[in-house]
Amino acid sequence: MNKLKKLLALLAVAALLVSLMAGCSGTKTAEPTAEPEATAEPAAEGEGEAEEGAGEAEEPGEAEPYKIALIQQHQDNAFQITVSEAAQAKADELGVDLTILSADQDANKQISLIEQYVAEGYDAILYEPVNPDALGDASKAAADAGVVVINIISAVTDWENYGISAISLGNNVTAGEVEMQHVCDLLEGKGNYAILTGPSADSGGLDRLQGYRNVLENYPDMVEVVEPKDCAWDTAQAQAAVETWLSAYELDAIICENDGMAVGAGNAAGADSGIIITGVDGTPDGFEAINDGRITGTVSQDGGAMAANGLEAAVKLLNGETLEETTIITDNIWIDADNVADYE
Amino acid sequence: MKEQKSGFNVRSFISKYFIFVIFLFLVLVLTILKPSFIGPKNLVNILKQVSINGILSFGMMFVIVAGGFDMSVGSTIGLTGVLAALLGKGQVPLIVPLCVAMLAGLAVGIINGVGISLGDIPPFIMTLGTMTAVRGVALLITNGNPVTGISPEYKAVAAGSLFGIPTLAIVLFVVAIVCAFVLEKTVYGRRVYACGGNILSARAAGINTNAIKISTFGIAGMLAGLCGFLMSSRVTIGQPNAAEGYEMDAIAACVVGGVSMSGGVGKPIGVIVGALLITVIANGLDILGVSSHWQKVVKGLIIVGAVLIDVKGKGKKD
Amino acid sequence: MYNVLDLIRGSVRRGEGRPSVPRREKRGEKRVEYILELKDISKTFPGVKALDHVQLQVRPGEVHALMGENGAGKSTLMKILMGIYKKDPGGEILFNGRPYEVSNPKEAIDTGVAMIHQELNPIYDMTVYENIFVGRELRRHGLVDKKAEIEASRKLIEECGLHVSPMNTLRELTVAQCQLIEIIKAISVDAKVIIMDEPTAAITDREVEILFGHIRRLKEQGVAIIYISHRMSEIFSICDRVTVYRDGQYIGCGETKDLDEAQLIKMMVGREITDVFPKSQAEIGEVVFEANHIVRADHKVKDVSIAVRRGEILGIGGLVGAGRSELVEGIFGLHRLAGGEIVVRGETVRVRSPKDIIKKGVALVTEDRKVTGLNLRGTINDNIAVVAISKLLEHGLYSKKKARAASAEYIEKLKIKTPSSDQIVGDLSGGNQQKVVIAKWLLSEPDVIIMDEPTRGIDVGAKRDIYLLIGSLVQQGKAVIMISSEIPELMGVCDRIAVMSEGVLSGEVQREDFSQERIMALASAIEV
Repeated sequence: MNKLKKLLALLAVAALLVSLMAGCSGTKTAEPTAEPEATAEPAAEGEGEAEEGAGEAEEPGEAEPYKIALIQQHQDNAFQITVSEAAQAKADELGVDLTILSADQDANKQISLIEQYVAEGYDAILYEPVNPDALGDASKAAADAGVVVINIISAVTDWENYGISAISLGNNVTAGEVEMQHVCDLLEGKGNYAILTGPSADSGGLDRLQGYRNVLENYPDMVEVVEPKDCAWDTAQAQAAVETWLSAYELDAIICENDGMAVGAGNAAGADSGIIITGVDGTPDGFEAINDGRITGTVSQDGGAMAANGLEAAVKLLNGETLEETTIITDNIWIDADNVADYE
Repeated sequence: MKEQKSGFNVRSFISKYFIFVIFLFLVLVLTILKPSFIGPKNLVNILKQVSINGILSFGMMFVIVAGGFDMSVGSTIGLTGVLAALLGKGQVPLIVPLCVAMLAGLAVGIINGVGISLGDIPPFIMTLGTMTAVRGVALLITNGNPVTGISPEYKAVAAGSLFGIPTLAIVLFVVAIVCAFVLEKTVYGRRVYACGGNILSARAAGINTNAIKISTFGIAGMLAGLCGFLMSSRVTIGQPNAAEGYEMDAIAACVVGGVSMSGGVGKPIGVIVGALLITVIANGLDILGVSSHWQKVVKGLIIVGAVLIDVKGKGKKD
Repeated sequence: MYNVLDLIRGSVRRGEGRPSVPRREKRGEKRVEYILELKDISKTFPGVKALDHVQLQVRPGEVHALMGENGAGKSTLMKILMGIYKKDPGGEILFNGRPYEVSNPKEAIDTGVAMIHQELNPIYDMTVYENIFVGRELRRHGLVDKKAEIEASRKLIEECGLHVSPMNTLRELTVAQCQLIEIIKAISVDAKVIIMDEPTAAITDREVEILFGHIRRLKEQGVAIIYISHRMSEIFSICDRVTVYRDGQYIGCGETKDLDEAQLIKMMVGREITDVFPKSQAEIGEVVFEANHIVRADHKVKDVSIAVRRGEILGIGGLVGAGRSELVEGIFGLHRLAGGEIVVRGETVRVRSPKDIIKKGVALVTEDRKVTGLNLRGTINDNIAVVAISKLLEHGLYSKKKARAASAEYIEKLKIKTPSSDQIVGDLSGGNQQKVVIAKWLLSEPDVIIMDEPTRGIDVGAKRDIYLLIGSLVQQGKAVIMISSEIPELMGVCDRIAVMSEGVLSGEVQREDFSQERIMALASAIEV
């Protein structure tokens, strides 16, 4: 018992040391960047001094690469991994110093991260809001401190009013429209279908659902047999739901809001089932299922392109240029057995 | 305090296993609302769908009966599923991913057990910690990506069937028989109940309560590992974020099945019924085509209602 | 009569068979004088020296009483013997002439030392037979031999005169029945030394006799018993020798036949106590509380009427299971009544829950202080504030200051031994815990106080404090109803004793007619 206590005490001390070291290194990197921050403040105060301040800030920027932070919603799935990889590649190409972070699906943490990187004197912050309504004030504060703020993948509600310079996103409504349009075309406008959705209150999911509805308006012969089922992006849940459905309903198509659920639906139906099963995202598990015929196709949300475009916009703004368009839309791509090899 | 007459007594059986009656009632209602619910195809579905939660619930039962609590089994499925998928691409015989998954689960369970019994950490806190950490390890191993490309043989494990009964259900059946045997017939099982019933008393009777506790967490972890192996086979990919919240369904199955959260009480047959009840609720509502939002409401109400009716139904006996 | 214990031993130690070890030893050549010998044992806890160089010698086949007030160090010593505590370095323990070193209860049991724990609850959700064999299950082909366990349990239970099925769970049994099961458990272990810590605390005289029968038979087999009890009469009727400790020190050891009660008490408390049951005179006034024709919904009490006057102490006697606790719990609203009327100060009270009757000035000090009496993890203040919190409010909020003041008042009045009112109640001795329970009820200033076994498991000094307290309560014009299984206690303290048997009132005895025989006769009235 005593030994265990000692061991625990040792561990605690070790943990403390590690955190102290982390704290020290944190302040170290913050020190040199304290200056541009100081100059940025008066810049915000007076019009006349603004240009001068900006000029001063640019000089160290020239000598050193821009410091840019990317705060992802989370880093737990293939889509987000694509985002970080593409952003890193773009950063290397543009020669900027990119730090990639995760908010772990926690709006509170995302706000803290924004505040922290503003304080550490970063030049620009890119992020995908965990919640469209929670990040406004934090963004405004960052913009007021002279940091360029850009939303990627999805945007803060009324983003223009919160000092956010640009948004780079795919359009979830469009993605939904593309997916449903392909389904309707394949069925020639007539058939029974069911929908699998992400978590019920997810804004991306709601937008995709909106996209489905937009297309379905034009196809009166498409029949929704059951209510949409919330499978929380989860393969196993989708698989169980579809198994159950198939024992009671004749379905011609199952439309899923992401690839993970489409894979589950595909598993339940089996390969070459004749049922049209589609997803959104374009992740490796989806491609595998397209290859062996369990699912029909997917709409790629090109997260990597969104991040890259956002990063490019940030650098442009830091260089003093202006953007032609502050809403940068990345196109959706339909991927099926014919072209899946190009994306794997 | 007269001795009860031996022989079968229908009334005492019903009051003892009231949850059975509730379950049968639910099945009846669903059948009336949607006849295909009881069709052979959907019965196979139910067997498939109950398996993983059922196996997990038996592991949970050991822990709860011994007076513990395990939040980490869902994450353990995530981790072991990923490990099994990485090893299940056809490069080694299937027994290897199976053993690795179960051993990894066992390791997580033993860490839980040691922390709780020797470190005196409350079970809730300890397993909440491992739940988070183990999920993290699963994400680290895969970098967040699902593991694809598992071999056709591995996929066939969960997809296969024997005389029309899905393999998954057979695995559950075997696990249930073994668990029931261990809990009810062996000295070890008796001691698990003794530990949960009154740990001080058990210790004074010369039982190594620490070993019992650690072993129950080990069993829960190992069965979670088995679930991980089966889960990857079933969904054909190894998902690091698989089985989120499964621990709650397992706990619900135990409690609905009459396992006392304070330990020392519970019958294996009850856990089977509990797991079936949870599955049938989800399956039944799906087959009725009820909207997801309503499903959540109804599921919650049925769980609480079933336990309430069960408690009140039993109470009448006195 | 064949001996079930030996049968079980035979089956526990497979292949070895009879005769049992003690008997063989009697015949053997090597015989030690002491089966257990403790020399110069000390135990120090942070800040406290619980045992200070004490000794104890136990001969084979003797019943050796270990006496002392709570805090004398008896329990600590027994825990060292069972391997729960480790003794301080120095001193030695010899078992059968060989050094005895155990580090957990299992090793102690394996060596041959078993213990009936005083305040250890059994496993309520397990059956009787499972409890009896916990930790030493009978096996067949490596699996639990349920049939053999049930059979052996049934015989043991019959021998004890208990009327329970081995298949009952302990939750269905009364406290006394549970206690008997604990006893059965310990005596059925193949032990050379059995420690019995307050084995009779919760059982009545009839079961005590059964227990003594077992003890005598164990003696004949050469088993030594270390017997810890606060009941003087038991010490003199069953024990051969007695060792007394006080404040962690060895005071003396002697043959029981050479000692009398007064000498023993003097050794234990260090001063003389002349009257064990102090009886103070109080003026008996009008009837303040009546319960008429009480019938419980579960029929554990059938048509019982009792009444008590101001200044009066009414005793309720009877055997365990006679329905005494069930009666007062019914009256107090803890169980549903099927019929009956409760009248407080001439006013009929409808009791739906304890709240209703507490409001009328009735208090119930429940039987099991650890289960229903106290929050063991709370401080004295926390516990005192539970019932009459309304008296501890300031501007409508709970005032810790007032609670402390109230606690301090009762610590003083009831002579509760504690460093402060912030002490955790679980750390107090049994007698002091009991006083805290009483204090919390007194704060609500009740007119009628019902006490269920108020002196169970507490030492002579603390018992006397409680008798004195009851005396002073009735002197203030309150009425007291007291349940006890100790007939001498009832006879010493009460003005009148109502005796129950099998759920009905079998008779009432006035103080001038008190006699042990009369009360016993009434208690077993219906059974004979």
